[in-house]
Parts: sequence; structure tokens; C-alpha cells
Amino acid sequence: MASKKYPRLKTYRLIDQLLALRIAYPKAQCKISKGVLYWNGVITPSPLSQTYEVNMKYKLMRRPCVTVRGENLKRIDDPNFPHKYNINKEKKLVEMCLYLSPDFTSQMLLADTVIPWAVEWLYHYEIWLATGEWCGGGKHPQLNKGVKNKAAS
Amino acid sequence: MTDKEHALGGFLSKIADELNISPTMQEKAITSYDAVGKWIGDGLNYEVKIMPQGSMNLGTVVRPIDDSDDGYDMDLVCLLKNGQYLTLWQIKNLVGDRLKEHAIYKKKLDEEGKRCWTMNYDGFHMDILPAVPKNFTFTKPNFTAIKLTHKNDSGEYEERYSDPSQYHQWFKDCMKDILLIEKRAFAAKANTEIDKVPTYKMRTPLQKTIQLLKRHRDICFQNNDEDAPISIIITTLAASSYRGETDLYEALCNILDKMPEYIEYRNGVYWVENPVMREENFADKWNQKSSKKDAFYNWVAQARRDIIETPLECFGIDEIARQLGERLGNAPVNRAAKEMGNQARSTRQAGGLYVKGLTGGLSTTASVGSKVVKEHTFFGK
Repeated sequence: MASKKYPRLKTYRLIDQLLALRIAYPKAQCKISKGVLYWNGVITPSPLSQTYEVNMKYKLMRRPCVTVRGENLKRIDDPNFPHKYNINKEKKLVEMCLYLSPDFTSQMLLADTVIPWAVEWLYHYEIWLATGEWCGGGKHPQLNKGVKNKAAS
Repeated sequence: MTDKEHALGGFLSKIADELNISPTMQEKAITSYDAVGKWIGDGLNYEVKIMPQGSMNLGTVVRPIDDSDDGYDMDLVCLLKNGQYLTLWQIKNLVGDRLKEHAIYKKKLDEEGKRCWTMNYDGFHMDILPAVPKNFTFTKPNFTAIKLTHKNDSGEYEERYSDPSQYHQWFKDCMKDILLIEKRAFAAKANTEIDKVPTYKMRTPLQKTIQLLKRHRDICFQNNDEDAPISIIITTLAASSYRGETDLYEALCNILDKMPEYIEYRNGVYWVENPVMREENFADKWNQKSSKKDAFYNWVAQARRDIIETPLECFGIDEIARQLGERLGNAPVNRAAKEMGNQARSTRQAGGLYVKGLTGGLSTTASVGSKVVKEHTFFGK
């Protein structure tokens, strides 16, 4: 039994996540289908910026998968493209790497964490396009060293 | 003003900061001219006052277009305060001869210039203008006009007059309250008295606008140096047009609109009045060579297109940076963009970065419905 002093943090149900997303971002699309939450929104990370179509797929206890896609994405074949999991050149789609575990857990709201991070990612992405430098901070996993990826899973 | 216009102003403001002389070079300049002033003063039986004039004193210096923090022109007045009765030849040559007595200065010294002695320093060209008070005395704030010498083509010295102190005061008056606000903030931060804060350390929208315009001019006329509008005309017209705007975007738009209105046409002569010596026309050369006048008007229109209109038509920080980079220099624009990124990161780390919905972008102030960007670590390859 959880002690009263340290109550067990509540895991948000998908419906809680959906409601919070709808309230925070009323213009975006959001639905739950077969135990998966789907979110689709158009993001402009600053008044000077392009607009980007962002999709999120989230299953309880899994890492939310956040992708950005469309013609407005540039340099997706650049080997130094920053902070991404996957790039699909044909579909012009990039899966963004937004956090390191445990920045996000299922006891947190996507609307308060992952979505603001996606906005911030896009802002730094444009600055990277302009300068070749990622100014948002973060970590790059060391490749080819047999170090296990510590990313949220 | 739209959010985009305001944000463009923010970006341009950072670019202007990157065009500015570095504090290290600024300090180096001051140390160097203090030493020169002391050397001249120690060797002459006159009371010597060395004073910076021009952009170094107004805080409107811009880096050379190759972006080196180097090669600045530093204009100094070397005033012999009690030299009213010296001949023109003496005024010029007392100073020149004294400089030549110093082994190092002698090596740095160019041949005699029309009005100045020029010394080539590491990182500077120091133009020293020998002068005496025009009136009986040199007393701030009312008696600051100076008499200087001009060597004509046949080698004779002619008298000329100027009033750099008064011009500096006029320039400060054009900035009105904003200078006071900035100085007060600077003084509080540096823990000093407001009177001790020099104008050149301030960064008002007027100073930044002038820096952006001068850099645009430098790039625009890099292949047609002859017709490039001179800095004193840009500075005077910009300061005359400034209405105390606190936002750089608004200052820039207003100044670009109004600048041409301060060019007079007096009895068939184009005239940009020296605000502190009404008989002096900064644009006198326009009347000898009309391409200079045309170049000025065309340049103002071009600056408006390049700095304001085209960037507003672009989408993406990268695209706007590319456009501005072509017109203001890639290096300072790049540094300014990085600065925006670094600032967003450090603000987030301090817990002060917000997201205003999906289209309002990042902000450093909270507003209704905005969400704080929680600290996190971007990850991935």
C-alpha cells in the first residue's frame, strides 16, 4: 500500500491526455482509436518561422512518437541533421528526439511537456538550418561504442 | 505592429549588436588615445585635451565588412585649449612634430593629411585633428566650437570650423528619454553613477538603426565607393527623424520614411544642414556630382526593401537569416541567430520560456493559455 506521505503518482489515462490536449490546443486534431492516441497539429515555432505539420502517436507506457513532415522540411538528407530518431526521405518525415528519459513519464501530461518541446525543437531546427549549429542543448548518444541507448522507451 | 514585425526587430537588434565594436577593442582604443593625449600634453606648453569625435563617441561604429574586429577609424580632436593665437601652420605642426618625437608614434605616422595626422595602429587608424578654440575659450556646454586647419592643394593652410561636442550633445538630445532610461539601467547594473555612463556604451534603437544602415551602405556600395552616402549624412538624417521609438522595428521604419524629408533644397542647392553649425552643408558634394544625390535616394529605398520588406515576406528564421545575411553580412547575422537560440535555451533552463499555443511561438513572458517549457534534454543522433 502506498504511504500517505508519498502518494503514488497517478498515471494519466489516454482520455485525460486527450482532454488536456484539446483544452490546450483547440485547433489541433486529437482522437483515440484502439488504445492509441493520435494528435495532429500545425506549429509555427516563432512569428518569423515556417509552419510545420506535427503528428503524435501515444500508447500508454510507451514513448510518444512525434513526427514532423512536409515540404517545409529542409536538409533532411544532411548527415548532421540534429536530434532525430528516424528520417523518411520519401515521405519527407522526421521523427523528433525531444527528451531523455525520465523527462517524460506517463504521470505527466503530453500537453504540458512533449508538445511544448516539439515547438521548441522546431525553433532550434530553423536556427540550425541558418547557422549549422544546434543551440537547444541536449545529448547525442555515442554511436558505435556499444553503449546502450538510454532514450525513453 | 504585428508579432512578425516585432520579432524581426528583435532579430535586427541582435544583428546590430554583432556589428558593434567589441568591448575589448573599445577599451584598447581609449587606452591608446589617452596615451597619445598625454604624450602630446607633456611635450607642449599648451593645455591639451584629446577628445574622440564621430562614431566612436556616438556609439555608432560598425565592423568592417570582412567582419574583423579590426581596421576601425578612430577620429580624435587634439585641442590646444589656450592656443587661440597660434597660426594655422603652428596648430598643425606643433602636434605633428610632437608625435614625431616619439619613436613608436613616428613609425606609425602617415604623411601629413589634409586636416589630420593619421597613425596606423594594430586594429585602428587613428586620425588626430589638431585644433584650437574658435572663440576666446573652450567651455562646455556653450563654447565648444573649434578652429581646425585644412591644407589645400597648393599646400596652404585654410581655417575651417567644427563643433563635435555640440554635435554629440545634439545627438544625445535626439535620443531624449530613451538614453536616460538606458543609462539608468546600465548605471544600476554596473553600480555606478548615471553621469559617468558614456553614450558610446549605450545601445538605443537610434544607434542600432544607424549601425544597420551604415553596414547596409558598406555592402551596397562595395563596388561603387565613390557615391556611397557618407556616415555623417546618414547619422544626421537618422537622428533628425528619430521620434524616441523604443522598438527597433518602429524606429527603423520611421527613420527610413522620414530621412529624405530632412534634405532641403535651398535655392537650387541640396542641403543637409549640420544641426550645430547651420552654415555647413554636409551634402555640398551632391551639388557637384548629382550621382551622389541619386545614389542616396536609391539606397534609402533599397535599404527599406532589404532590411524590412523582403524579410517580412519570407518564412523561416533560416530564410530570413539568408536574406539579411546577403545585405548585412553573413557573419553577424549568423552570430545573431545563434544568440537567439542560446537565449531560448538559457531561458528555458531558468524556467522562463513559454509556448503561446501552437502558432504564437516561444516567448519569455507568460500569457493567458501559455505553457512553460519544462526543462528537458533533447536527445538522439
